Amino acid sequence: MRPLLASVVIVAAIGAAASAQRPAARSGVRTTLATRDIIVTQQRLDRFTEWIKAVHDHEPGESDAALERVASWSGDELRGLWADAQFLAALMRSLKLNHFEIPQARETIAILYKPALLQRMRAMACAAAGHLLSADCRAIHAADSLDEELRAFAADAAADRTRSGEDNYFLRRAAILHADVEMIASAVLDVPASASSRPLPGPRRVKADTSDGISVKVHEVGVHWEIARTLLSMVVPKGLERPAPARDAMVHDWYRATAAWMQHAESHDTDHVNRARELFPSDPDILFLSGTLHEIYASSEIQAAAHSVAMPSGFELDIGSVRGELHQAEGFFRRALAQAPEMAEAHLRLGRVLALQGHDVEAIAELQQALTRLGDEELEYDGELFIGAAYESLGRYDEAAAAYEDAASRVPSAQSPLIALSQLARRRGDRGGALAAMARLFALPMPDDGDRRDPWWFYNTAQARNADDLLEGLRAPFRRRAQ
Amino acid sequence: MIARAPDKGTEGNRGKRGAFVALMGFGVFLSFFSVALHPSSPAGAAVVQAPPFTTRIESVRVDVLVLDGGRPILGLKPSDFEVLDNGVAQQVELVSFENIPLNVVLALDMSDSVAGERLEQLQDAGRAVLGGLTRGDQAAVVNFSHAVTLAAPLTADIASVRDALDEAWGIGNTSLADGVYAAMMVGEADAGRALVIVFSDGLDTSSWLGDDRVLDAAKRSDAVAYAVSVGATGNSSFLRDLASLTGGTAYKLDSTRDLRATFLRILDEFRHRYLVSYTPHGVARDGWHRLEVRVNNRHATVKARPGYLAGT
Repeated sequence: MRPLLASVVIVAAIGAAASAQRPAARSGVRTTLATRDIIVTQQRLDRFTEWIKAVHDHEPGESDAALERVASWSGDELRGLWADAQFLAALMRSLKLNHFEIPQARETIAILYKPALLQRMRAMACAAAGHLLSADCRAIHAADSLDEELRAFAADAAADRTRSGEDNYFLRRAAILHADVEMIASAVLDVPASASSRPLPGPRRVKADTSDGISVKVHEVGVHWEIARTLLSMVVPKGLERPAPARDAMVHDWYRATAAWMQHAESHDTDHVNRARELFPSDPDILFLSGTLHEIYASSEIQAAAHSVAMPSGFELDIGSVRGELHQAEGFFRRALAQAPEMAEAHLRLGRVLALQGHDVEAIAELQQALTRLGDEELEYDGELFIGAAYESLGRYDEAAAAYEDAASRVPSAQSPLIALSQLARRRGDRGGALAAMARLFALPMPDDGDRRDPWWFYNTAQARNADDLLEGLRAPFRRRAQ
Repeated sequence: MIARAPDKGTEGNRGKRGAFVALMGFGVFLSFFSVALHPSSPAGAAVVQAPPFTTRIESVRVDVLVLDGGRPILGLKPSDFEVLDNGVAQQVELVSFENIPLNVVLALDMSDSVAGERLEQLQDAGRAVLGGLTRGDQAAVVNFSHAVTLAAPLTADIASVRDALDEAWGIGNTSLADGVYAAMMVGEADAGRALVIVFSDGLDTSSWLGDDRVLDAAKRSDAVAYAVSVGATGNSSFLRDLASLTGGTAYKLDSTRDLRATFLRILDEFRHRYLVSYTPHGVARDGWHRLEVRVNNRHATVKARPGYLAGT
């Protein structure tokens, strides 16, 4: 069981930037919108080269120098990287491209590369695609402009291309690197860059740290998740000629594992789950995690934090009312169950959100289905608590008491069923019973001796208890020793 | 996300509990007798079970603060009070002022945020209250983070309560509703006048009980709850409603520097309250009983619980 966290993080994206995440590489034909040019500097391309090497050097899941280097970059540096990486991915498929455009609300930003820098980008694209020996790459003498590290990177990419029959090595490794930055290094944007009057075009995001349901800090952070999502959007599965991330198993596993990690770490990002669902609209696990995210958003802690947080101009938290969030959660759980009717945990969660909406009879039916299938002591404990509460709401007090007692017997050191029993007895006028249940509660081990546990305290993260396993499964094929 | 085959049934011990033996007080001193068995309702039926016992109201007692220009009025007699229970005038039987010992329950937020100076100031405020107790008074400490613990049971051994207070330290989340409920129950475990002083500096993040369930219990209790909060907790309606329903007061402080003075003010105010009791007549037993307490022939401000809840 993970340590009890006393804080959660909610991530908000800036509206305009979110819409600019889709790749928009163009081959030189200007759009009709007003265009603002940004000339890529030598310094920027040097950093981009560093990044390519970090992608190559990083050992998935490790806190290494490559990860720390990328984690230290500022918001503008990351936005530059976000654009350059997309251009590189576009060049991997067509070396003839010569600039990159980012559509904005009122203008188009053109990212332009001077000839020498464009040549370096093309050489790195050859390396990233594992194509260094192809005719096009030989024609531009790509290998000659790469140092030893980049040639090693090119060799690995070529080996992967031979092994897998596709050229997504760089995109996948980069996505894993940026996810690791978020999960391991907890990247924070440096203040001078975030305070820039005219930040580079690209995504921006802020985190609202909360504790005890109170917003304690709102700060702009690095856009590593956005970079990873953007790169994976350009994956071309084997046998296809155009990007089709929705048909790629690794992309699916990446979204499932990272979405689970976010809920495990209570670092919530609606955009992430929404993007996962765009790609995999029928995947029961993604639908389930969508449901749990909105169930969490309906909790008093998140609702209180959402009301207390002062977001910077242009950023949206995207958390609705309790009613709205519960309704969304219900919808996603129903969709998950339509795809996987045996998904016991979705029955459990659906039962709870139905009860929270006052649909106690329907909730009991779902919870009963869950309890016959869960096969997990702590989830069954949750189920007994929820069904007890639903019975109680219906005035079926004996069944409620029986359910609470069942929960208490499953986890004898838990306080919630005992306090539920006490409250129920009190409600029935049974003060003696109420006091007896409290006496049982007060006889539990003290919290600091380690023997006291209550799965209810971890309910908001229990759905993601396999996040570590999912991440390990995702990272393992990309470890050096696995290749 | 993890699915394993179920290894045991869950229905085996359902529906077998139908009897309760009851002999108890009911906040406002209601007592219940008898035993009843009744079958479970059919699955899915929204049928409220009748209570498995009959009830008889022995007496209702209400803590009342009477002020004139902010100062307590002393020396009132039963005939000075007029009590309406659901609009029906009641015969006030007893008015006590000083002779009933207090049961003071400190319900203290010991989550992560209560540390350092804030913890020291909270402990100092608690010690001040304990120092203000007199012979016959009892005290208890209920700490709540995510876990609810009885740090010191209700006892006249005030030194042991002080020791428990000194040993407290903050860690974890905040089960405010669970902690408040537990404190009220501790206060009710004894026949004395229960004063619950709740302190919290955070919003509820881990309680099982919903606010409504705790407020329901508060309506059935004769404990008077005073709530003291700093930070965002003060914006929550829960503590305000709790204090209002029990006849107490909710204080929202800017800083824990003022805790000591606030705690002492609460104790002083509670000591100046009258305990008014009566045996209800002319009113239905169950449901919400709206209370109105007035003082005859005086220009006085009267503060008392707005009512009580009886029955299921």
